[in-house]
Amino acid sequence: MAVTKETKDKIESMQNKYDAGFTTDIETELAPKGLNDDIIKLISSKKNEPEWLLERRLKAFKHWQGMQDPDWSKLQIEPIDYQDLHYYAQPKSMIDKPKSLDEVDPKILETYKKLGIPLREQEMLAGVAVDVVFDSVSVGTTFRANLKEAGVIFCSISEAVQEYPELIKKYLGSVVPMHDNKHACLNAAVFTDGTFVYIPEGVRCPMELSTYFRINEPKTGQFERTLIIAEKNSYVSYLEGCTAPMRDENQLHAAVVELIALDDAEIKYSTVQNWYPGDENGKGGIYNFVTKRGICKGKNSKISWTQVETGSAITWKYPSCILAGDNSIGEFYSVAVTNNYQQADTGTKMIHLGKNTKSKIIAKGISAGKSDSTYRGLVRMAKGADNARNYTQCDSLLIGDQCGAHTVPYIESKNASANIEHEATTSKISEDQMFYAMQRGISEEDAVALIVNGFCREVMQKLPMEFAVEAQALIGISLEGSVG
Amino acid sequence: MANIFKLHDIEEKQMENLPEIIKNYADDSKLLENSSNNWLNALRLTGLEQFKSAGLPDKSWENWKFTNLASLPNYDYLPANSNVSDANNTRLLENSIKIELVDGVFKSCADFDISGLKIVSLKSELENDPKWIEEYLVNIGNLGDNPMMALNTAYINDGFVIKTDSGIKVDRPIEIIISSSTGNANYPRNIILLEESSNLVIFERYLGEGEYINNSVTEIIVKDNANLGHYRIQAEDLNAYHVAMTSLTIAKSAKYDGFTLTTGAKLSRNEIYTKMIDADSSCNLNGIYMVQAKQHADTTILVEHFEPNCVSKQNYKGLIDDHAKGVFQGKIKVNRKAQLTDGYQLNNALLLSDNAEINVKPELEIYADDVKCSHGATSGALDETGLFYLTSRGINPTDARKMIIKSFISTVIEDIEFDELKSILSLETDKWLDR
Repeated sequence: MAVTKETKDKIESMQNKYDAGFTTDIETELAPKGLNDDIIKLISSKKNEPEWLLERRLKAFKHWQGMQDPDWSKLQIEPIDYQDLHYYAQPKSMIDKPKSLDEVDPKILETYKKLGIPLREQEMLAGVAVDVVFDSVSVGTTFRANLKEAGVIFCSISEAVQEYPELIKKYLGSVVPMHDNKHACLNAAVFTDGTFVYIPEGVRCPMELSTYFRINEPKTGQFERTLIIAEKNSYVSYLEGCTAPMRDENQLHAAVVELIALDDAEIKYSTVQNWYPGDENGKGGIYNFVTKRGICKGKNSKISWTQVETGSAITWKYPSCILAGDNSIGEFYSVAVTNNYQQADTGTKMIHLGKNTKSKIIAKGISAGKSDSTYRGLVRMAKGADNARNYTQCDSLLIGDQCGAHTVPYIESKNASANIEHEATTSKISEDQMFYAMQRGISEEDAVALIVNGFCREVMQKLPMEFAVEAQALIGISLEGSVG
Repeated sequence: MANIFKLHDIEEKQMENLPEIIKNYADDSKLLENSSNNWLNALRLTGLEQFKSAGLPDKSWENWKFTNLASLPNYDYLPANSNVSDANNTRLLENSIKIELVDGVFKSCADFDISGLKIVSLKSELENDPKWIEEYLVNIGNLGDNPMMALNTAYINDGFVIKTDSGIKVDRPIEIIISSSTGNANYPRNIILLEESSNLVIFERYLGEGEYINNSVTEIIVKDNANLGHYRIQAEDLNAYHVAMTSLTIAKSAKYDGFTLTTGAKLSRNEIYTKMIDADSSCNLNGIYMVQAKQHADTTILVEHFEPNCVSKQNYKGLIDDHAKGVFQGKIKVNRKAQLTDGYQLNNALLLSDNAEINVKPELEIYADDVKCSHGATSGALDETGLFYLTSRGINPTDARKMIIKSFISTVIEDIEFDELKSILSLETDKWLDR
């Protein structure tokens, strides 16, 4: 398709249009660079942790030193110098814990305002409670009082370690054991903050819960840990967002998320991942190496992952469900957009153990520029998964002839009564579609965004309203400069 | 008598620490022809070296994730040891030219009077006209990535060579009966070359008695505008191992129609690497695997598109009964230049028993934007509603079951472009279902 001058100008004016790419100029207390037992002891003491947790961290670190980077993905990863990072970064103003948001450094509050994350409860969209994590610490959690009334615990994981040690001891690492993979093991050793959610039996969480992660300091990594427990017959919807400044270095983000759903409980987990993707020459950007896993422990429980992945230089992420309880349900809805030199290797695992378990996977990959996007997934029907069902659909859309789209599903069935269906397609935006949109006066850029949004609609509809609007705009921005 | 492949060509240190499976290579190598082709001895040694460093493939090889050969028993290399009974060696196709390969050795070829068609043993061609086959033996790809091909290469000695001259349309199918006898390790190396605008149909049947391994490598080249129909029935003994590596190159506007029926072997791997090296060509890689008892049947296919406007289709049906396991790994790779590729892949598996197992990995790797590529995979049990429908109309359950299974596999049989094969396959299927 011929490029008009107008399109070219527009594209040029939009270069580097990563709105979240600013830095916040505040004083930060940093742990010395490097990773060793002393650093881990320092992190643990900063957080005033009990002995058992420190021991667990040291054990993980010891194991981590003998581990190999996972190399099975289709990713080109520059070797990571783990010793050249600060493993703890805390804004100085946060050292004396502010009692309320009024005491928080205005510069930090300004950051979130610029990002469009409302922290003042009166400014909030109705019914979203937020926990915000800035580098290694949680800045604050909103609506805690209201939630407490309903019996819901929503706080940073550091607080939970102090206040609910029994729950932490019981569930931390129960879904993602520390030996799971190298990135998860590193997280187990050095995790700093994250979110803890506990929904008691029979409670339907009265509002959406949300965490917003922000990396600010250079030469740091973020290692957050999220743990969500839904007791019998409870429900929670949780949203996660993330951004980072534009920098030439690659920053490491190695998070672990664990979900536990007991009988009849439901957890809905949505992510809009917008870490800095690097510039148009592939310089800089976040390495997003995340282990997310949920277990449907109880019967009739349900875990649903929805993700919109537009950011990060490299994404390595496979939110998974272990369907242990009979009649439990796992869902995975994903849109992964890559442009320029971004690489995404993402997908899910659905491990069917219980009877009548069901899973559904809808994955949409959009590659533009010189990027590569891979769907990698596993559907496993164990021997006991009688009458289990899986439906998988993976569609890839290629924009331009310099990018790649790949599908690598593994399907394993040991049960004859289990039913598996898998479909995948790869295509491009047809000229007919473009012509139709453009002859109605829609610009080339907008037409692409329109068609892509149509392509992802099935997934976008699964996002909570607050996120859907943002995600739609993000996809448009991510693809800018990709046509012509 | 040609020289013996000289032991002194092999340095002693190359013979040290050989994997168990080829620990007798020093002795075995005395049975390999030397035929004064230095490149051939060098090639065997490369195969040996590569196999030595790789060993038998196990789960640590991504490509062998579902099929583990680590515990392959050690059979003897006895190329002359033919105790195969002649009972099964009658041809199935009336008009065919019959070739017999016994324990990896080219035994016989029926007389035929077709000019421009050459059917010879690899051994004799290495003696009489080695020049042209050198290219097809040496450029087989990276042996380090394919230990079973490396192992075969260490033992290159005999096999069949079939070649058509340009423009030759052969009107008789070639039927190759490849049989093996117990205790043997066989390494046939075969070449099929169709020159431009020629046509040929080849039908291979794998048979045998007892415990053995048949590790074959076949290099197939279909040149511009040529057309090859290539059909296989793998019915090895249920105690045997069958590892068939096929390297297939398809040139401009050429066509390959391939089909494999797998019913035999305790453990089998049917691996096909297809390169579509020029525009406007097409290939079908279809098949059925029907396995029972503790059989393990693996089909691994890679189709790589290099140039625009080619069509590739993979369509496999699996019937898995008892404690058997099926594996299907299919991959379509579309390189940057290969715009307008039409790639399709489907694997449907029916699990007929509670202990049956299927592992599928259908992969797409795509670097061109104007393509149509899709894949599908399903796994499940026999359709209860269908069974109920048929039985409610008075059909007894056994027949109803058979009807459903036959209709399940009929689509791939219908697509075969060689009609005579369809009735043979239908008989084979009945035989399997009535066993």
